[in-house]
Amino acid sequence: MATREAGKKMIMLKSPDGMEFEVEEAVAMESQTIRKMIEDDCADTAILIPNINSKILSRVIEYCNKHVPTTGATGAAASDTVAPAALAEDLKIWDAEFIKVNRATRFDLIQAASYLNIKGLLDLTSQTTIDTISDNSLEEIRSFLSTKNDYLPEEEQTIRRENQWAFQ
Amino acid sequence: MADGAGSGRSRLSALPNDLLRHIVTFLPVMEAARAATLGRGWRHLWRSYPLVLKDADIPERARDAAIPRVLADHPGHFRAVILYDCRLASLDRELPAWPRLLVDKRTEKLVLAYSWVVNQPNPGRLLPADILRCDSLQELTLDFWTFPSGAEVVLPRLRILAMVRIGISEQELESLIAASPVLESLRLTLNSPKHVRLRSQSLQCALVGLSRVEEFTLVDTPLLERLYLFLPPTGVVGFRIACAPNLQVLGYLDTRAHKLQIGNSVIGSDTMVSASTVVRSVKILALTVNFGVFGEVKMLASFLRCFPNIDTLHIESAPHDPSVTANESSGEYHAKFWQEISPICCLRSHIKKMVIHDYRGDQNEFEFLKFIAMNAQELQSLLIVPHEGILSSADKVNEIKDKLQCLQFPTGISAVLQLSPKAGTGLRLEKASNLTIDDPFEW
Repeated sequence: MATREAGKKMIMLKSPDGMEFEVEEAVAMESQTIRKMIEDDCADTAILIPNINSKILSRVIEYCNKHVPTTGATGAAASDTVAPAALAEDLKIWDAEFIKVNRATRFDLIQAASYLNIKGLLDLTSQTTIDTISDNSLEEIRSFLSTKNDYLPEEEQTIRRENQWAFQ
Repeated sequence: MADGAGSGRSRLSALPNDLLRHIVTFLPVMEAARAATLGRGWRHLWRSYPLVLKDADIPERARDAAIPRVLADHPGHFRAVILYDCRLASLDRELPAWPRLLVDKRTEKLVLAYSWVVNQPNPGRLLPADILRCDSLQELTLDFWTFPSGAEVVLPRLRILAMVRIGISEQELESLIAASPVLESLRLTLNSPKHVRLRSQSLQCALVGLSRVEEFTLVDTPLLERLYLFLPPTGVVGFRIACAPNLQVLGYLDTRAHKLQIGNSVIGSDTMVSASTVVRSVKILALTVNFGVFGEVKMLASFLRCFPNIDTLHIESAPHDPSVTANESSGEYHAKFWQEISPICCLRSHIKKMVIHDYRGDQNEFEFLKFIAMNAQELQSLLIVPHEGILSSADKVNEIKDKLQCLQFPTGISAVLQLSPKAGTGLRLEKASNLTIDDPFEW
């Protein structure tokens, strides 16, 4: 695996609307999807990222840039460039700011995180989404999800009984 | 505004189905189970993902019924079962085989704690022996249990272990650690053993509360990078470093409460340094010292000589007990001591960064700072964090500022006074166990 010191290999990412982003390989490899492409040698020139427009792709790169592990936790390089004590808390605060976006953008980010397979970003966007709906009643959640209640009344009673502990 | 309202692309339901399902797995377990009634497509959803059960997500009155049901209904595996308020009576009654179930359903992270009671009955409840044979466990926290004596321990994947208020023999504690071959992080607080000896070929980080311990020894811990000592005892505890060649971060060493022993040499205030009394690997050291007690100040100098390669030094100024310090020597005596002392290697040629915590602005503390200013040839930063009591007095703060301005350092820096409050103990322990944070004594 390439390290950041070793010449900082760069990768070109292209969005469908024609924008190009030059990023460090280590940053791009925060995405398991891109990591696989690089490891399979499919990434000589530029990688086209389908379905993710430049606005969202630039946010995703911003996220990966922030979350790429710093080189060697015990090495001198890391402690020179970041304030280590604040690192973990910093990231949480940074994440909370990062996700303050409108709903449409957040949903785009979820889909991008899912396609690019970036676990941290998918968790962050999913958790934020859950936080916005979990105080609602089942009826409301059903309507958000556009799900129909296709149970027969007696079936629904059975389901409720099965999960009775959850309805107390 | 909730996510459902809105139109077109910004509706939650516009997301692909598999993503929706993924999102729903972030619901707390009660709500995820309730989602079974959304429609046929959702019926088995919460059972089809690894379980994350936290009792804190369930209303208190429902826990006795809900927790055994969840454990029984979910087919596994269990990613995390976190019971901060582990209700043994209801578990034993509703689901007698619960310990076996945790093993069979491949629990990875397990917390079995007990809500904190000050006057708790003693000893803790008997820990089911099956828990110690849960070979899928990676993280285990036990609080307030009696260890089942003679139990076979098989924890081949355990990386993180926390033991709090556990009744266990010294021998059993050693065997438990020995039976965890990939253990990386260990926390010990208020357990029964008076003599704690650490031997582990994998351990990287240890947090040890010493208040009930009489002797603590790093017998053989080749990978140990960090040792965080907290809860100093009212008496004296022997702390011996026998073999810890990779130890880089150490503290708080207490000049009053810790009788430091390196190899076979007990470090006293008059100990001469030799190759066998130094620990060269330590880079970050934290010390607690009462500057009002001359014996502790002398011990501080001795301790510093044992760690010639530290580049970051934290010193916590311990509270001055008036009854102890009443007969103590004056500031002039301290000044004379620091003027006449032979050079301290780490101060002279290594320490780049220094933090004084809980600074009170006493003359004896200041004499030490003067010594630093005279001798620290490599010092790049000196941060003074005043004691909370000082912050409320603007006069006192200004007086400290004025005094600090008089200090002249060889490197041309000036001392910085920090005026923000510090973190609570809980947060400090969390920080201390996080190896990605280089310096756990900084906040």
